[in-house]
Amino acid sequence: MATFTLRDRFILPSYDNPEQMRYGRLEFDPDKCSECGICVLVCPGGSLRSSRATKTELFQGEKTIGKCGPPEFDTANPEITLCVACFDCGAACPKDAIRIQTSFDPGYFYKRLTQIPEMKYPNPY
Amino acid sequence: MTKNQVTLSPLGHYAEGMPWNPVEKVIMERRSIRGFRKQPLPDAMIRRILEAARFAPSAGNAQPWKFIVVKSPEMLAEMEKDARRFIKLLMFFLDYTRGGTLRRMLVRPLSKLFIRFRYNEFHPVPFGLMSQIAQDKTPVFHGAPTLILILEDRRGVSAPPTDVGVCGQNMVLAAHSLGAGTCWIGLVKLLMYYRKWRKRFGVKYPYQLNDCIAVGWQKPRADRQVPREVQMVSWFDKGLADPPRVEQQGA
Repeated sequence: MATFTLRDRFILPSYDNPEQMRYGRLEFDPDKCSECGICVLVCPGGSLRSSRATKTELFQGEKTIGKCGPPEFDTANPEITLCVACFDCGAACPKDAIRIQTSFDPGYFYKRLTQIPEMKYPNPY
Repeated sequence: MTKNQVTLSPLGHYAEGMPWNPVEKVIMERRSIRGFRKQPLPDAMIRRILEAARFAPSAGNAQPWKFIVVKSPEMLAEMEKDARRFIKLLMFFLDYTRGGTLRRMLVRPLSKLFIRFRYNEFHPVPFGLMSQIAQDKTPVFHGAPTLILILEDRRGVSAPPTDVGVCGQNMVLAAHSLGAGTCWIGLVKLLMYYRKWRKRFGVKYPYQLNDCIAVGWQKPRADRQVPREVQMVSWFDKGLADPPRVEQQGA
């Protein structure tokens, strides 16, 4: 905070402006995906949907896990996905079909995960 | 290293490069679970989880906490309804990412003011989540059959929020080691704007409610190792005047 100039202090990031904030982006492997819909159910922010079911429908039991169609981002603007690349979907995916394409970067005002882009599994030293 | 190791090391023993012991395995594979079965955990198991919380370390052994277990389905439904109603009200005045141009222009200045002064509560992550909740796209408490509320006693020693965090982590790890799933939920603090919930849970002066933990059986079992970002760690292991050695943790 100490390095913020007076001008910086009056500028706030816009959450709906892709130039000031980069949202996460996922890559779904269509060959591995079994279209079960688990990723749609576990997404914390409800940012995923599949062609035949939304998170609310799965959660309230109107649709069941099974043939749900391939997952996609539930968004009006393709640049604003509301995904924060938390990878909950990847942990729950039984087929390992999800990869993080770009990570979440909330701009200069907020804390960023500043480390190298590729991530590592825990290592027993 | 394989992703899912089968062999485990014994507790209380270290050799370089040995596989995880059971405690480390639970820590590495814990994920926040957001899909629960309807059937709650047995009471004895919840007591066992609370026992892990009771034995958490705290500054000056002040134990600045109090636990409330909510299992009643009617109460959980009402909590969900009230939290959702409050978020809808909040987002009516603050969500400048939705609606027409006129609405955005009117709402944006107020929203920016809130973001400037409460930048943690209105971080883009909870902001997007609350926006989705206001549109009925995602639930607040994830349909959890049990909530454990951790009240913080503000008269504690040093930093009571840290003690509460340590105690909650004890509970979470115990629950995952027993095969249950947990998720920290901070949005429960919105219920404290309702007088009836403050009264019902007895949240007044020494106590403060900031977080709760949703506990239940995992519906899609999602406990698994996932990759994490690498940390740059400074090691001061030479003389006083020498600069630290920066090492990449997790290479």
